[in-house]
Amino acid sequence: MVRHKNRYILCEIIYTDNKRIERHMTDYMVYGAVISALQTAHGDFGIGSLQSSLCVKYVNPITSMVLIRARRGAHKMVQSALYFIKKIGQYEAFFRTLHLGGTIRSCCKFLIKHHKQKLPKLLSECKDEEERRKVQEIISSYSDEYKKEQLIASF
Amino acid sequence: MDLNMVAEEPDTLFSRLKIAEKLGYDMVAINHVVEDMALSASASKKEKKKKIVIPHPDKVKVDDAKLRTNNINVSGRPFKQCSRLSTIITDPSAAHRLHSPEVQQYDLIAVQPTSEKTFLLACKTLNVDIITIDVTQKLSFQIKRSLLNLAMERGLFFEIQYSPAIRDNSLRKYTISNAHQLVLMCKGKNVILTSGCKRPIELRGPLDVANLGVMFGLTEAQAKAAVSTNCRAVLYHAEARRLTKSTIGVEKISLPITVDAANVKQNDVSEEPKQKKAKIDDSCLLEHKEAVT
Repeated sequence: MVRHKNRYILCEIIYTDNKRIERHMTDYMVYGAVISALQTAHGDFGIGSLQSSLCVKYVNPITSMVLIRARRGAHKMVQSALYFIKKIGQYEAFFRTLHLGGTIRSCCKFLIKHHKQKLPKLLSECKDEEERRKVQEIISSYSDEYKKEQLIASF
Repeated sequence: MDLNMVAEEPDTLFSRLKIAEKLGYDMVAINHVVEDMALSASASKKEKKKKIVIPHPDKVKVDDAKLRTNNINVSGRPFKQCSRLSTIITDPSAAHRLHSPEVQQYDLIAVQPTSEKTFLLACKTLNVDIITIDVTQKLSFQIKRSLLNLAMERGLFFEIQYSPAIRDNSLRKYTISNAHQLVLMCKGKNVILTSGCKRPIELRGPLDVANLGVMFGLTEAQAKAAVSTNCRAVLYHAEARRLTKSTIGVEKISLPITVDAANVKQNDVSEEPKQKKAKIDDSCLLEHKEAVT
């Protein structure tokens, strides 16, 4: 039995207006954007070879993270198509590839690491000490392990 | 590193810088484009040119202060900027203006040749750092390997801009075809990928750009080098270019040099270290030269 191998592309959506607000973003919108970009970049061949495996596994509208699955081998086409995306749904935005993983688990690990790295910068954006303390409390109320479990469960 | 951020439209420049920082770039060159060097010959234009050249460092500085307020980088690395002047050379006789001190004070200088003659000139003699390959139309000349080798020996780099490919469908075709021509001829060496973006949406993250490089026919290692190590090499080359005319360049002392200075007997602190500094700077220069060749 041969395992069917996939590649998971972890991307961040970057909105060009640079505001940190929650936006309406669904996996369907992301899928539509990817498919249309694939059509323009690689044509019918691209769509045909990826239609069965292309899938948007995870969309987080708050952190604007997206996980896209593609067949191994053809994932290069998805990557190069992602490059040309200018609009997702009604928003002007583009993708920034963060990680290319073989499993969802590896992507998840990377995501947690990535968020940890980002945390100091985000904390520095708090308006005053009070707000900062509150945020830190909330974060520390989740133990590391619990956070991991939650993230995995949300996939 | 992104070595081409067009300086026009200052209102979007800041947002572009912000997004570039977010994407993980730690160095950005702000590009000032002079359409044609030959045009700036007349007296009135000359004044204009002077005006343009001088305020540039100030412009960057203002941004620096602005950036510092909302820029606490995660990796602890400061976000750096440098100035860059790029021009299109159509006439070989006008090319000597590139050697004027006003132009040479820029951190980076790029030229975009339009014909075989100017391409030869740029590869052979011009005192520049980057040769831009036009990606918005079909190449009007053949790229020759002998010329490329000449340029590579001098440590010049070839630039492919990627934002036209995002801007428009037909430009994308030209970008890919021209890039393929170049990569085929230079075997993927001495290529840098830069944005040349005018709007924030035309920027992409370093990983994505490297992936685009693979599309252009570079290998993965070369594509990664095109956005990182090659850009660094360009900066070294530029520094060497600015220093070659002077015999001694004086810069701020970095840590190893201060240790050296401390080893010198403390009695004549006032005289000794200065000489030491100069010597070491000279050796730095040599190193730069070596790195370039």
